[in-house]
Formats: sequence, structure tokens, C-alpha cells
Amino acid sequence: MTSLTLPGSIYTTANRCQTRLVPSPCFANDCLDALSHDFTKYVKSGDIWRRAYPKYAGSSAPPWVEMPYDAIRLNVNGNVIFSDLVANVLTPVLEYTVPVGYDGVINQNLQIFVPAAGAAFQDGSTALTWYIGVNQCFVSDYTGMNYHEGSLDSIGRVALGAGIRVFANQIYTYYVQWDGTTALDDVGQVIVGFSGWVYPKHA
Amino acid sequence: MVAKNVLQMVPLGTISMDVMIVTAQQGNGRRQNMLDDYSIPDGWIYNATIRPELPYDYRGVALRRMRALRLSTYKPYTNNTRLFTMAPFTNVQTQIRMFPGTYLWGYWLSLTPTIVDDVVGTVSPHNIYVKVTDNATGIGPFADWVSDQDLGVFPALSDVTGASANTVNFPQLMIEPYVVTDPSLFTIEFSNNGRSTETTRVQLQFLGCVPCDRVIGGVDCNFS
Repeated sequence: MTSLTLPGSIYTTANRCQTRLVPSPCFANDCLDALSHDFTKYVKSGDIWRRAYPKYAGSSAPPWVEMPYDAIRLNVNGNVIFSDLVANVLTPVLEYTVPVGYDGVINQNLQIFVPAAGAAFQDGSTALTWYIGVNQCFVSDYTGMNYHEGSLDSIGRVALGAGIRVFANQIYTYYVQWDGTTALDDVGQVIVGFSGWVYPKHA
Repeated sequence: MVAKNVLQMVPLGTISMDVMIVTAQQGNGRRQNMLDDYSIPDGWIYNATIRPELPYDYRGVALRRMRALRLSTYKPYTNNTRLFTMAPFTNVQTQIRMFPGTYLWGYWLSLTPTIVDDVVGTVSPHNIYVKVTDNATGIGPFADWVSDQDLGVFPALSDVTGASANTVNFPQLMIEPYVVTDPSLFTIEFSNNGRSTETTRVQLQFLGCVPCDRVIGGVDCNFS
């Protein structure tokens, strides 16, 4: 059996199972250095998103920032009556599944409590807390919201430049939680909504 | 196939792993490049029954893809997020900076219940989700949410009866080395989905290799 040794190394057959002692860079370093160099060059050569979405490569901004011409408007809403809420349990109010073949962005959201005649919701109180979930977890910066966003006339927070980027098959769920102690109007409605757009994923 | 049969007939323990590897390469003609020409006696494989050149499982495939790292003079490197304490239904975001040119080969997610005398099940599988985005590309090692269980945090939960014992874990191998490029920033998000009502400590650690001149300022890294 031929004994193979690393170029320039001090390996012998006898001590191969000992701790590695590689005295100088070898061809393996060259492989790693070259790959790192090439990948860095690739990353710096242009916007990655133009390669990911070649159909929109000529656009001035990514498709989740500027609505592309072939995008589809996303506008979904849901509601639940206050008396249906269970104390300290996240109640799903709206569920939205991103369609197959599409990515998109949610850049506006709506969350309000509309009382009929009874007690209204005070912003900043813990009476109602909203969460936006994605699949089994939550969207960053959209958890534990103790305030309303938007109104029925004007849908809420507008995230200019981007928003919540959504991807095909993801399930977005709007939850609300009642603290169980603050009495609000029993027939009041919790209303939530998403707005944005989805665009074809492939060219 | 010849090599496979030969190896099956040779009792393990009577032959060194180096010989087995060489036999496999020469026997079935799978030698592809210089990386295949050298056996690597390092600490990655203490178990002689694991043969990276016979990729019948994930670990074998992953180790095979690490050959360049194991042959090189790159130095071991770790980087980790700070330890976060997460209440149910919360998210945290953090960012860690690495050296450009780092290659990552594994990661390690640690979950620790905040109650010292915890019992099994209070921190549930699928309780914590992790997303890692490489700022250089906008995608990352795992760009969408990954469950703690997918990261191997709960390999033997049902066997554990001691306090906080379900934090025991081992690094997960990536399928191949992940090259980190400038600006070498990783954005990491954790989400506690409230499946367990308990507050949990989370930390993510990356393991990799880095060119030693990046660490010690470009001086000669010849340690001979």
C-alpha cells in the first residue's frame, strides 16, 4: 500500500491518528481562497435580486419595493366578535396563504376594535394584543402590538420601501388576544387586514 | 461495486481507516481530484465505521464535502449570538459579524429553560424557530424559519429526566462549507411561538474555519 502524504506535511504512517499539524498552506487553501474570492466577486458584481428575479432585472427597484406591472393586488380582511375571544388565548382572525408560484410583500396592515355602543379599546392598554404569525412562528416587529393600526377608511402602517416579504405557500395568520380582565363591548368587532401585492416568482 | 464488496468483507478494526479510504478510491475509480488523494487523520472522525467516501448518509456526504477545509491550514473559528431570554409570543433579532473569507461548517442551537429544576416537556419541540440571513446576498444558510427540532435540539427528549438536560446537543453539520463574504454580517431572528408557555433562553453558535492571516493580521501563518 502506497503511503499518501500531504505535500509539505510531516505526516508519517505511524502518527496519522495524532493531532493535525499542517505546516504550510497547500492546494486545499488555494481551493478555499479561490472560491471565496470568486463568490465575493459575484456578490459585489450586482444586485442579487436581479438574478433571483430576472424578469424584473430591468426595474429600478426590487419587485417587493415597487409593484411590478404583472403583480396581483393583495387585500384580505377578517373580523371576529369580541364575545368569541377567550382570555389569554391567541385567536386567529385572518389566515392568508401566499399562492403557489408567487412571492410578494405585505406593506400595510390593519388592526382595530370597533365597538357598537359599549366600551371601546384604549390604545396602549393590554386589553387587546395583536400578533402576525407566519407558519409556526411570528413576524419580527409585528408581535405584542397593544395599539390599533389604520382605520376602515385608511388601512394601517405603510412600510415604505419594503414591508413583510412573503413567499409562496407561507401561511400568514393575524391573531388577537384578550387579557381577560378588561371589559370591552361584547358585540364589538375586532377587524384585521393585510394589503400589498404578490408577483410571479419565476420569469 | 467491487470496493463496496471488499469493504464489507473486511472486519472493521483490523484495518485502518486510511487504508479503507484508499482502497475505496482505487477500487471503484472514484478518485476525482487532488482532494481525494489524501486521507485526513483529524478529529472530525473518531468513529472508524464512518466512511465519508461511501456517502450512504448525511454525515458521510457532509464530511466528504468538508475535505478542502480539513486539508487546509484554516483555523477553527466560532461565533455566536448573545444569550437571549425569550417570553412566549416574542421575536428577537440580532446581528453578528464575522471575518470575510470564513467558511462555516456547522451550527449549534442552545435552548435552556429559565426554570432551573425544569422537567421534560416544558420546553417543547417546535417552540423556537430560527432564521439566518446573510446580508451579502439577502439569503442565508437557512433563509426561512427553521424549527428547533429540525436543528436537532431534541434528539432524546423522552429519555431525559434531569434538570435542563434537554440542552445537551451537538453541532449540526452543514451539507457543505458556507463561504462568508464581505460585509460578513449575519442577521439572526428567533421566534418563540408560545407552544410552551415558559420563557426560554436561546443562543445560536456557528462553527467554522478562517484563514489565519485574517485573524492574526496577515503575518505568516506557517506554524511548523
